[in-house]
Formats: sequence, structure tokens, C-alpha cells
Amino acid sequence: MLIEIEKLSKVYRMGENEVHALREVSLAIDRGASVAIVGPSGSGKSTLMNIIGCLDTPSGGSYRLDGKLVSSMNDDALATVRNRQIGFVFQTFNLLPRQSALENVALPLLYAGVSRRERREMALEALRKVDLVERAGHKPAELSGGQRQRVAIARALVNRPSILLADEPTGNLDQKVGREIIALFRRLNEQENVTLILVTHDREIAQSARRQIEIIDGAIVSDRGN
Amino acid sequence: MELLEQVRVAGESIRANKLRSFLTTLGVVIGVASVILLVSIGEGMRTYLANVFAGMGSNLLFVFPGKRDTRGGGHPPMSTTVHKLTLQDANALRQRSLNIVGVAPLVVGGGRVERAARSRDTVVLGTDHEFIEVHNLSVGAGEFLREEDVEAKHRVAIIGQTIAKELFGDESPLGQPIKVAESRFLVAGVMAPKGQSLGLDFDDMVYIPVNAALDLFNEEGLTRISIKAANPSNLQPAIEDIVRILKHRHNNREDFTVVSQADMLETFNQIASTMTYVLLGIASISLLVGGIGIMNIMLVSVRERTREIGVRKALGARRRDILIQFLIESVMVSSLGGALGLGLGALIATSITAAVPEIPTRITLWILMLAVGFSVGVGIFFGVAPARTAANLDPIEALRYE
Repeated sequence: MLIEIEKLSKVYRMGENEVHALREVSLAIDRGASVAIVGPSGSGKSTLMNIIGCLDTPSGGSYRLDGKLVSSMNDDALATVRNRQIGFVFQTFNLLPRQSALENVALPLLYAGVSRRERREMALEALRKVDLVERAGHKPAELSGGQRQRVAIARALVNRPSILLADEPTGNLDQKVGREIIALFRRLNEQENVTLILVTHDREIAQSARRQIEIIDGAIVSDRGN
Repeated sequence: MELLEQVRVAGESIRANKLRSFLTTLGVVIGVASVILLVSIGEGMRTYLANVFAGMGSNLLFVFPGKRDTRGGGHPPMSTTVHKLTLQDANALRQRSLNIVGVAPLVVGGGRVERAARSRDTVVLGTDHEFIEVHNLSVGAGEFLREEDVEAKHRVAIIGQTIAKELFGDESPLGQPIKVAESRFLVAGVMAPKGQSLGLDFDDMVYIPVNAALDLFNEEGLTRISIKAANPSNLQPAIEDIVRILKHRHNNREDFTVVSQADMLETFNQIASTMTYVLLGIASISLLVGGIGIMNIMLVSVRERTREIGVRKALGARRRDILIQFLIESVMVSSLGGALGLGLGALIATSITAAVPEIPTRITLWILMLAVGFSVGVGIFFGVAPARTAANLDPIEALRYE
């Protein structure tokens, strides 16, 4: 089991009120799985994604990633886990505008302490997987939306993570390009055996994953295809 | 993340905002330039004074009328002088001490030197034949005052190079009549060029017999007596002799002050150091202002790049990585300012000396190290707060930041 979540809860304080973003959620995801987490906004799916992505820590319960108890790690340890295990793909791409596609893709390797030469080789290899090698020297502003998202996917893949975590990855793309990106995710999931977790409110995109988990009001209400 | 890469990233960010980075460095540029400039002037003065005193000879003593508690050179005090220093005092010193090899009584005054239609306002020095020996000067043409010139109160004058050129041009002044403060004198000699020393231009001076000067300026006492001690390595016996002889002549009262060259040098050095530190303090204020400018811009930069910080953190940057990234950036900005300020300060210092040789400047290694240290220090000190702000950002918040 790659991800083991047990009775995970997250409580935010908003003044005097306590907001329960997650209520004792339990969940297990296999290595190589393809999962969509769906739910309306405010349902807690973003909180769940942030915790799975090691950007946030839970208020209660436990989260094991690859056998390691992540839920009790400190910030620096979490940064290392993010660097080695998680590849993020954001709705707004989040590429650094002054850096070329290649430099953007190589960014996680910088924090992994990979040598300059290897960084270049690995980044080119990742760009090859998303069919963008010929655009390696372009700045994000010189690329189309779909191309930018492919650069972002290459960046997520470059350090060979176990999880590809995509948050509304087609939200800023038109439908046709969005389908291409989803197809790319499916291909990577099948060929590279990377675990895919898609967070979306779009049912059609959710159907592209083999398993759909629906969250409402901080709790899992349905888990299909498992 | 390796250091080289950090420097590259920081350089990129500085280049991306060229004008802003330049304006940010300006405070440090001005601060460091003024540190360099002011300290180099201070150092130059110190070196200059040391050279001046070395040129004068280390066995020189001065006796001023009046008693001072504080040691040091400069002007005679405004005190109640019971006995003025007289020519007889000078002669007594000359005759009664084995520890003294030269004595020159001095009367200093100002006056106009004239020859036909040409005139010049200058310093008139009344003294006697031992003056050039005591002060390490030499005569270029003719001869200096002779012993009998003073005894007979001859109306002869020795003039400096500048005055010779001014009044006589290419003609020989020897034997020619001139007027010094309305009185007629004959030029007996021209001094060899000597240049300036302690604000006195030896080339722009007229020397006349000391008693003639007392008459001319209607003075009863000497301005000072210059004394050359026999033993340059131990002035104490000469000082003791002077005090003993003069006290005996002044009804056992010590109404005069003996100052050695070392005393004067020390006083000047103290003044120079005090000046240097005061100026350094002023320069530090501009560095402080420059540092606050850097902190301000770095805080803006952190805010602007909140998203970038969020992305970097999501991709695995640890707290330390972000902290170092922003620290390096602020140190680079301030060092850049330091380097520019260094160049600017050195340039101004050199051109000041080139334009006005009277203001010597000297750039020493410690000044350079001080400037470099200051600018790096400013970068670190004022970069820490913004860098910490950046490092402490919550990645989720930072990623959501618009």
C-alpha cells in the first residue's frame, strides 16, 4: 500500500468557531492506482490533497506514505518527502516566468542536490515524456496553455516521484487541450507506473480515473471502481 | 541546494529588476564611498603629519610663553604671562646648556613686502643665524642672517622662493632693496625651496633679524624659541636644562611651556583619529539608511515573489534553502553597492588629491576591508528579516497568493 490514511481529521479555527475540514477520513491507495477525488468546493478535498501532498499536517489520525509515518514529520522532513515522492501539477501551472522550460523542469532536482549535468539530462528526459523537448529553451510566456501544463507535468515527473498529484489540472485550459492533458496523465499512469491522484469537480474528468472518491462536508460519501 | 546555483538565482533576480536593484544599492554606494573618502583623508593627514615631523627632525623643542597644563602644539594660550620670553632668555639657553646645540628666537608677524610696484602679503619671521640649522633649512643664493646682523640690527632680509619670483621675476634679488611693512631692507639671500609644512609655507616668508622684527611689530617678547637638542633619542636632559635656566631667569616661576615634537605629533594624531572616528560615525549613518533601503526592497521582493516561494517549497525547498536564497540576494545587492561605492570613493579621493595637493588622501588595505566588511555586514544584517519572512511562509498560503 502506497498511501494509508486512518481516521484523518483536520480542524481549522476561525475565531471562536471550529471548522472541521476533514472528519476521520480513512483511505488506502495502491501504488500505480489512478484516483479522482471529487466534491464541491469547501468539501475538504483540497485539504485532503494538501495533506496527501505533505504541504499540510493533519490535526488527528495518521498518514503513512510508502510505509513511513508522514503525519508526525517536521517541515524540513516534509519538504524532502515532497521533493522525492510527490509531483505537483497545479491549475495555474505555477511555472517560474523568468526561467526556461528546461530550468523549470529541473527545479526540483536543484533541491535534491543533483549535479548540474545530471539535472539537464533528467530534465530533458522528462520533457521527452511530455513531447516538449524542442521547446526546452522557451520561457513560459512563449508557450501555449497546454504546453505550459505539459512543462509543469514534466517538472512533476522529473524526480521520479511515486505520486502525481494534480489539482484541477485542466481548469485553465479549453476542453480540447484539457482532454489531451488527461490523456497524457493516463498514458503516464500506465507507462511510467506513477500513482495518479486527480482532484477535480468535473465529473467527466473524474471518469478518466479508474477509481472515484467523492467527498462532501469532510467525509467520504462514495468510493467507486476500487 | 548548491551555493553556486543560489548565487545564479539571486543574480537573475537582481538583473530582472535592474533599475530597482541599482536604486536599492545607492544608499550603500553613498555610505561606502563616504567611508572610503573620509577615512582615506584621515589616514592621509596622519601620514602627511608624520612625514612633516620626520622632516623637521626629531630633536626639536619649542618654548612658548605662558604656562599650559595640557601638552600640545598650536597657539600660545591666552594666559597671564608674567615674563615674556626675551632675546636674553634665548641667549642664556644658548650659553648655559651642553644638552642644546641650537637656539633660534622667533618673532612671527604678518606684513606686506614691496618692491617698486609689486607687493605681496606674507609672513615675516624675525630670527637669528641659528634658525636654518635648528629647522633644517638651507639657503639657495646669498647667505642667511649672520650673527652680526642681529648684533648690529642690520636691515637685511632673506626671502623665500615664492617671494623672490613674485617680486623679482628672473632678476637676482641679492643686494636689492625691498620694503617690509613700510621699512627698507636689503635682500641678503634667497632660501632654497622647502615647501609647506604644518600650514606654513616656508617659500612664502621673509626672514629678518629678530630685534629688527621686535621693533617693526612693536613687540617686547618672542613668539617662541625653537631649540635643537643634542641627543635626539633622549630629549629629557635638554628639557630639564631649559626649565632650570628659564625658571632661574623668571623669578623661579614656570611661566613658559616646553613642547617637544613628539608632543605635537601626538596631539595632531589625536585630532586626526578623533576626526576619523567622527567622520566614520557620520558615514555609518548613511550605511544604516542604505541598509534599511535594502531591507525595504527585499520585503517588497519577498511579497512579490510569494507564489514563487510557494512553488519552490512545494517542489521540495526547505526553510533553509529559501532563507539562504534571499540572504544571498541581499548580500549581493549590498556588495554590489559596496563595490560601486569603493570605486566611487577611491575615485573622489584620488581626484581630490590631484586637484588640491594640500589635502592628502591615502587608501590603505584596512579601509578597503572595512568597506567590504561593512557592505556584506549590511546585506546580512538587513537581509535576515526579509529572508526569514520568506522562509517562514506557509506553502499553501503562498501558492494561493494572487
